[in-house]
Amino acid sequence: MRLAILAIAAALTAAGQSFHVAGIVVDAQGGSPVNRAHLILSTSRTDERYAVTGEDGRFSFDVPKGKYGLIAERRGSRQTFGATGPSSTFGSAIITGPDQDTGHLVFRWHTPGAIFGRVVDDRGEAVENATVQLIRESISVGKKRVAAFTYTRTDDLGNYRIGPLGGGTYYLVATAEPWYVKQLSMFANVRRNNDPNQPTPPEPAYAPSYYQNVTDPRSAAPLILNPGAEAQVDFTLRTVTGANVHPVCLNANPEPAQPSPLPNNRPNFGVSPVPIPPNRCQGTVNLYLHGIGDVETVFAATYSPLTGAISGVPPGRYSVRYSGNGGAMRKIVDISGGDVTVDLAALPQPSVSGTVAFKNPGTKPRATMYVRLVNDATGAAIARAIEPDGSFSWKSVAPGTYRPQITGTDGFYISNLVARGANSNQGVIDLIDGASVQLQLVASDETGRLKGFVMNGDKPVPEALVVLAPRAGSTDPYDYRGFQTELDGSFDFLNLRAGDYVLFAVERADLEYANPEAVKPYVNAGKPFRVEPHGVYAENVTVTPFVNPIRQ
Amino acid sequence: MRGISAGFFLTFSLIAQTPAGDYSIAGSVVNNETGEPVRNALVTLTRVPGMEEIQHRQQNAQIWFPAQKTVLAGAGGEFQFTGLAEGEYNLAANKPGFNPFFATPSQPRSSIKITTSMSGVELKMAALGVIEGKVVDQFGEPVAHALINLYSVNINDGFRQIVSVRNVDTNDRGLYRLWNLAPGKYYVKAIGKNGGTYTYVGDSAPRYEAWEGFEPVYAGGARELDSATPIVIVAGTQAQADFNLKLEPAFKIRGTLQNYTQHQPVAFQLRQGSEPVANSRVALNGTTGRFEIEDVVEGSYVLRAMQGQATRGEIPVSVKDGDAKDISIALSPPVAVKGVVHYLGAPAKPRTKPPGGDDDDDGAEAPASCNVSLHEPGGTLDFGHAANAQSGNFAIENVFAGAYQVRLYCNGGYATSAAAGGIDLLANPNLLVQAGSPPPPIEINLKPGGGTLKAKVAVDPKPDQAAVLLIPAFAASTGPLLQGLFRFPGLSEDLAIELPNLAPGDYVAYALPQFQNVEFRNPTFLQSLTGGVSVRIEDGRTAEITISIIVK
Repeated sequence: MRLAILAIAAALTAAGQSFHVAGIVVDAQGGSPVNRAHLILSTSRTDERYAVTGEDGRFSFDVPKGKYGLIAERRGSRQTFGATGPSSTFGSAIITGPDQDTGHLVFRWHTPGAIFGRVVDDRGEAVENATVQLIRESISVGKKRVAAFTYTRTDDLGNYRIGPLGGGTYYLVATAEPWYVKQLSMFANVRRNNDPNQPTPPEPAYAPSYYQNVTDPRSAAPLILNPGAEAQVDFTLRTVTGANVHPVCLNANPEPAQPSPLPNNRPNFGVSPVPIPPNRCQGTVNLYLHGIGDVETVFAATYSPLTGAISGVPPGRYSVRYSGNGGAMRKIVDISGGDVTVDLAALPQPSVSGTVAFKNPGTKPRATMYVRLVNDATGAAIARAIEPDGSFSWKSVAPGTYRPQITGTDGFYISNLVARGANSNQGVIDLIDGASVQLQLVASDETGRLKGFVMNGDKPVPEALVVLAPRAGSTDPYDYRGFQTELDGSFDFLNLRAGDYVLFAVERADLEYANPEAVKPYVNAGKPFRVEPHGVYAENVTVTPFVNPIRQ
Repeated sequence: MRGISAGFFLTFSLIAQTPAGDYSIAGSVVNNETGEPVRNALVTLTRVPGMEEIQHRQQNAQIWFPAQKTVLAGAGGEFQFTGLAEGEYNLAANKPGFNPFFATPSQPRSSIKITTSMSGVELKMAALGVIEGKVVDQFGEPVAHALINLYSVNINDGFRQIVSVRNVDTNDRGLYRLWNLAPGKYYVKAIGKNGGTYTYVGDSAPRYEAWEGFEPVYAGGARELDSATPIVIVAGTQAQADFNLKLEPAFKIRGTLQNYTQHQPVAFQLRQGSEPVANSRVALNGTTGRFEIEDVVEGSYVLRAMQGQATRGEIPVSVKDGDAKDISIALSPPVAVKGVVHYLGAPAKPRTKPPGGDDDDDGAEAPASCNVSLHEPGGTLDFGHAANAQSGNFAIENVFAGAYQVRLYCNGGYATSAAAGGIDLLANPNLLVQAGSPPPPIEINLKPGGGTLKAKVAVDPKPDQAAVLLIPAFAASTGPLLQGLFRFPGLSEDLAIELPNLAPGDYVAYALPQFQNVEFRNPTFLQSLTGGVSVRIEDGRTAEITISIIVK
């Protein structure tokens, strides 16, 4: 006891004054208290305080003056205070101080839901090991994206379950291979190995099934999952005749492999008695189904280098990817049935290296800087620390379109990009197989800072969205900046790229603020704002009513 | 559409090379336990070629492949093959969730001779087992993403081996399901939160929900396998195994890997005792090698890190009342453990048979030699073997730092001594391998010959099988020896056995009812034995004993 009192006294003396951060975690829908929520109040990863709510949902901290993030965790879900939904990337910070009421917080907990169901085939049989992929529509860096979110596989009863899931818009697709196909093809393969002139017989396949049980991704319906809801989505997989896909690797085997002699004409299983054709792909060939929004779906298909074919491929658009001898290659093909030959020329995966120079020599970052490659389609990023001599490199990167960025604590950004060995357009580089790409990046520290409050009359507005949109317009989502106001209505844009912007605020955190079409109504009514290099500005913004975006 | 596809795939004549005829075979597939029909099973009829046919093909250098017909059984499990010629056929049925069927009821494990049309053939399939359960915490709430591991236990050379069969995750409702289980004895254990190493680049580690964890526990609450209740699976068993976990405050272990190869994967394991472990949830900085192990409850551990097969390191860590910080793990490459076998007396005879060759007793005396192997504590892993070469030198490659048990298996003689750097390995068979430097060589003195024991098991009634367990009262290289005895039906002699190449000294011999699954290297088991016969073995002589009690 005595030690504890001493400790508190010491803390009070050291911090000057302590402030109360307290409140209640409630269910965002029903309003009932949420028990056993774990709360993390922090200024940084190394300065965290913890509390757990009781049956009444209440929590309480006493902390020095400052700016704190508040996170709640419960049963595998984590949400940020002030987030408008479980998938929102925004939250609102809590500012403690003598004039702030931080003792009556209401943390709205968005109870997660789930999607579950059963996959059967057209004979009514449970399909075991079917892949159910979940594709989510979300707003990321101010732009709506449709991206693969997660996937699961069915159990022996054909059942699957994906959770916890936040409310939102989802698409689902189920794929599988009939279990008996492997049994059937085993002996067919033996025969083909013995006699390559044997045709590849067609194999049954399951057509992919999109919610709600359609085989064409263009007819797929979105599933609106309400917060906290559990949705049942069952699939019936239709049996069709699959195509035989024959990948041909043009530079895989320049020298035909010699046959292994058959001893005494004994029956042989799995050993090819005939020469392997010179263009037979020797490696892994995978098929990816192009589904909703061109999101690639994991597709179970087995390529056998012995037969040189992938059998039982249901109709659809596929990305055929090879990796093995000679490197990697991919090609997009439309498959409708029959025998399809896909020519591939294996090439090494793209490599990326380069250097970073500073726009203003003499400026030096205070902490480690990183070069990031952000996939323009998925938003996924890979990063490398910049070496002391300014160089960076990746030996191998998955092909795709990427936006290079510089990250770190100091807010440097790429003010100029030169790419050798790759096409580049408005800051996006296209990495293709076989490419060896050299990047020359110029890092600029010409950034400014803008802080202020969002006001509605004379009242500050918490949880409002402040946006800085480039005045000249831009397709680079990173040219746009959004900020959700803190609990006291304040905002603080750090590391703003110098330039001309339009400033506005709106009471909806889910605005697609980096979509030129979505921000157009606000840009016209917004306030022009210029950020000079190293300029520091204070500006209050009046909140604009939300305009429903026109949907086509 | 559905009707068409079902009809289309009713029969597969893909591989129908069966000679045509007028006969048919019809029957049904049933569940062996319940008698219910098994619908949609794949029934395969394979023609067995006659001797004449095989000879004819061989003479004509024709390649043989199986002639087959395949059909999916109907909704009542019914099947039919028509157009069959007279001959010998194999019938088999396959379906997920069942053991494959390879016999007929009237002629188990043999073929059917068709000389006329047959009907009413019943193919019986045995269903595989299922274990499922629910995992809840002390508040009655489901625990999601708990890793549930399924084990079976084997006795191998008197050592108990715990074999990890499979693992699954609980879903958001705390439910798990393991299916397709072959009959046997299983254990189910919740070993932690699922996850592996997440390698990131940048300044801030990803955040895990990791404030609570639990001690690994078997279904039913046992902490160790010895006190856990096994789940016995027979055909069609649907077993329920629930967990009540006690969540405790969890902490982190933070530290750095030394000699870390950047951006290469690392697996971390927290080990306690000798039971199998799973990889821990870890955030690893791919640039600096800094790591953060999540979900660690209070306790003493050995933390092991493995970078592929290239390097490994481990360190004891104690977690109490807070995070363990500044833990440094040095990753080191493996070393070779070398040794030599010195032959005492008669020189080593040249090896006439390769190791592992057939053990036909062709009269040629096998040369004296030893096998040396290293085992991780608990006997879960057989690390490596080394048969001594003719020179007597041997080496066990790729041994990582750690404590190992040394096992010697000598034949044609006995080891009079085995030592490594002054440690008597016969009395204390433990070898400590330090990081980066090979341990002192293992020196074995092998004396060809030795004593012989002739043991007779004379009990009434005479059993068909028994085993003799011979336990030395001194530090012999063999440790306890177990030999099975089998009697051919109809013979009336007592069971008898001869054990050669024994080290001279005092022994106690026991008769056991069986040879299989005897944990004869477990000291607790040995202490429980009564009714043994003492015997002294002398070099070059044969001792004879009769055992008249079989230990139950």
